[in-house]
Amino acid sequence: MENLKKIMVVDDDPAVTTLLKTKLEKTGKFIVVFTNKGKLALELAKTEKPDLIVCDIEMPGMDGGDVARSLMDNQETKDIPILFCSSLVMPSDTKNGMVGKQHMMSKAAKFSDILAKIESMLL
Amino acid sequence: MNKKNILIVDDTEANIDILVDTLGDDYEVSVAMDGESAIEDVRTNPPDLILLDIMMPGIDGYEVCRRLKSDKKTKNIPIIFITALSQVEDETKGLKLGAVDYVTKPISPSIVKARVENHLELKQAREELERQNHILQENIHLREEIDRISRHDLKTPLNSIISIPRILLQDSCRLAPDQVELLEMIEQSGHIMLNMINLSLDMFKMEKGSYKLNPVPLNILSVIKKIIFDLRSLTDAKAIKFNLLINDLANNIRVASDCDIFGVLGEELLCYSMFANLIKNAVEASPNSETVTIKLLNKIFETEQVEIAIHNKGVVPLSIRDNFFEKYATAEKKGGTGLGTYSAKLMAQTLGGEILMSTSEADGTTITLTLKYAKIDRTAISESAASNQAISTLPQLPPQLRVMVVDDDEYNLLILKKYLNYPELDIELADNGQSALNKFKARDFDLIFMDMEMPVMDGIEAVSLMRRWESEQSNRERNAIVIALSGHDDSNTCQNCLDIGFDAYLSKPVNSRQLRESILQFFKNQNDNQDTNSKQHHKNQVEIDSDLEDLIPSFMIDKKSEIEQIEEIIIKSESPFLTENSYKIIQKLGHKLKGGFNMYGFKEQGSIGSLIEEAAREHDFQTIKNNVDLLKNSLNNIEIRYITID
Repeated sequence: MENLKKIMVVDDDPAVTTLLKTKLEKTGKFIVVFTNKGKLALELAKTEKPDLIVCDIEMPGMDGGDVARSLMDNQETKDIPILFCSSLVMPSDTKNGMVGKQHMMSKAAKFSDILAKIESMLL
Repeated sequence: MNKKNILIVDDTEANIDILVDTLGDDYEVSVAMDGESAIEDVRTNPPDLILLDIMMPGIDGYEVCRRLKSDKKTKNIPIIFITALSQVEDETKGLKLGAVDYVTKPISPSIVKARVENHLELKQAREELERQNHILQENIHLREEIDRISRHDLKTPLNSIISIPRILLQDSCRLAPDQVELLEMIEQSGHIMLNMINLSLDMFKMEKGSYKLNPVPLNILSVIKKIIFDLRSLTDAKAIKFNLLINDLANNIRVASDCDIFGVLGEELLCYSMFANLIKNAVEASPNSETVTIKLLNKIFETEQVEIAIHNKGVVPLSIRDNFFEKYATAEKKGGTGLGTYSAKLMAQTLGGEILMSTSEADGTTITLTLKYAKIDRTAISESAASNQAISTLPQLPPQLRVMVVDDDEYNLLILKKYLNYPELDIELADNGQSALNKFKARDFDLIFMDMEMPVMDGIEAVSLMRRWESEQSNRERNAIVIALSGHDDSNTCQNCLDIGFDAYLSKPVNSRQLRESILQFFKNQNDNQDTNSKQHHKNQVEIDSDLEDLIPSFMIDKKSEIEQIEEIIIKSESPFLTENSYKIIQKLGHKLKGGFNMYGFKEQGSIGSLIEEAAREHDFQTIKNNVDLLKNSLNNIEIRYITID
C-alpha cells in the first residue's frame, strides 16, 4: 500500500461514523478509525496517531470543543489538524470551509466538498 | 504518634518567631518567607495545615490560596490567614477563596493554638468521613454488580434446571414414584427461582425509572378473583374468608357479583403480582377463621381515580410500622425477604398510584391503594377474553409464512415449536448457526428466530453471513426478518443485536404471547404498508450514493427507532405539556435525525429533523407532533434510487 492517510472520525451517531468510514475508504486514499464517544477520542488519537481528525460538535458528555481542547493540550496530539463537521452549520455558513480560524464543514455539504476539504488540509 | 506538619508563610521574622514559639512544641513546623516558595514547599511536602500571611512581596496570600485551592492535590489542606486587624473586613475575600479561618495580628498565642487544633481535628474527621464514604460506595457498587450477575447470568443455566426434569419425566414409567416427585420438586423450585429473578429485574427497572409501562384498561375484579383462587390452599389452611365489596353509581357499597366490572389502568401481570403480594400478606397476618375484606371504590366523579382497600384483623408490629414499605423491612415472618410490600409500593408508583397503610389494635390493618381509573366497555372484555383463549390462528398473516427456529438447546427448540404451532406457519428447526445458514441459502425464509450463543456458529456470525448473502442476491423482493433470542436483556446487548443486522430482539425465556406479537409486528405491518403503498401511485424519488446501498437498511432502522423514541415521548405525555427534560431529549433526537439524514443524502428528511429540533427548543408541542407525522409519511413514501457519484 502506498502511504494511506489515516483519518480519525469522532461522532456520537454511529450512522455518521459508518458513512464517513465507508465513503472515505472507498476513495482508496484513506484508512478510517472512529469512536462514538468524545471522551475516548484523546486515547484513540494517541494510539492511532491519525493524520487528520474529523470531529462532530454537538455530542453528549464531551462535546467537540472539549475533544479539541483535550487534543490541543496534549503534546502527542496537538499538531493533528481537526476538521469540525456539524449539522449546526449550513453549507452557506462556511467560507472555504472555515468559520473564524476553525476548519468546519456542514453535515449537509456534498461529500465531494468534504473530501476536497480533507485533501486540502492534508497537503 | 507522628506530629502534624504546619507550614507558616510570612515575610516578617518577628511574626514567624511568635508562631514557631507557640506551635513548635506540639507540631512539626516549617517556614516559607514568600508565596512562591510556599507553593513549592506544599507541592513537595504537603503539610496538614497552612498559616498564611496576606501582605507579602511577590504573589500575595490570596493568590497563594487561589493556586493551592485550584490544584486537586492541595485543595484539601486547610488554610488559616494571618491578617492585620484593619484588614478584617477584607477577610471575606480570603474565606471566599477557600480559607477556613483567620487570626488577627498582633498574634495571640492562645487563639492561634486553639484555632489550629480545631481545624486539624475537623480535617481529620472529614478525611475519616470521606474514607468511610468511599468504602460505602464500593459496597454499593459491589451489590449492584452481584444483583446484575444474578439477574442476567443465572437465567441461562436456570433454563436447563427447569427443562431437564421435564425431559426425564417424559420417561416416567422407568422412574420410581419418589424419583418422579423429586424431579417435580426440582422443576418447581426452578420456576420459583425464575419468577424471583424476573421480579427482581422488573423491580430494578422500576427503581431506575426505566421500566416501560404499557398500561391498558383492565378489570381488576377478575385479577383479584384469580388471586383469591390461586391462594386457596393458604386460605383454606387458615380458614380465612374473603369479603369482596364494590360501590355502585349511587355510591352504595355492596358485595361484588360475577358480572361486575371494575376498570383500572394498568398492566395485568404487574397488578397481579402487586395484589397477590398484598392479599397474601393480609391472609398471613390475619388471625385464623377471620375475614379479609377487599373494598373497591370508584371515585371517578371526584378524582378520576379508584381506591382499593385491603383489610385484615391482624396488627402490624410496632417495630416495622414506620418502615413498612421500605426495602428489606420484615416482621417476624419466617423466610420473609422484606421485598413484598416494597415491591408493591414500587409497582403502585410505577402505575402512577399510591399506597398507604394504617394499623391499630382496634381496627386491624388496612392497605389502601389509589390507582388510575379506566373505562372498560363490556364488549371489549368479552372480546379480549375470546382472543386470549383462541390464539390458535393468526388471521392477519399471509398463508404459509416460512419460519426457521435456531437454537442449540433441543428442549428450547421443542418449546418454541410448540409456541409457534399456528396453521399459517411452516416451521423448520436448526440447531446451530451453520446449519441455519445452509437451510437459509437452500430455501427462502420469511422469518427466523435465532439464539445468540451456539456451538459451531453463533447467532451473530450467522446473521451477518445471512445479510451478506441476501445483499448478493439480486432477485430478492425483501430480506428475511431475523429476531434475536438472548439470555441477556440489557439495552447494550439489545442495541448490539440491532446493529449487527437483527430486526428485533427478545429476551429469554420468551413466552408464546411475545412470539405471536413479534410475528404480527412485522408481518401485519408489512401488509398494511403494502395496502397504503398500492393506493399511493406517486412516490418521491430520492437519489442516494450507490456506495451507501449496504448501509441504508440499518441506517433506516436506526432513524426509525429515533422517530419512535420521539413518538413514545409524545404519546406518553398525553397532553401538550412535556417536561423540560423531554423537550431536551426530543431536541437531541431531532438533531441526530437532521445530521444523519443530511449526510446520507435525504435532504427533505434532514430538514424535517431540523424543524423538530427547532420546535423542541421552543417547546412547541404541536409542531413537533406535526413534523414527526410528516417525517413518517415522507419515509413511507420514498423510493430510493442508487446513483454513482464521483
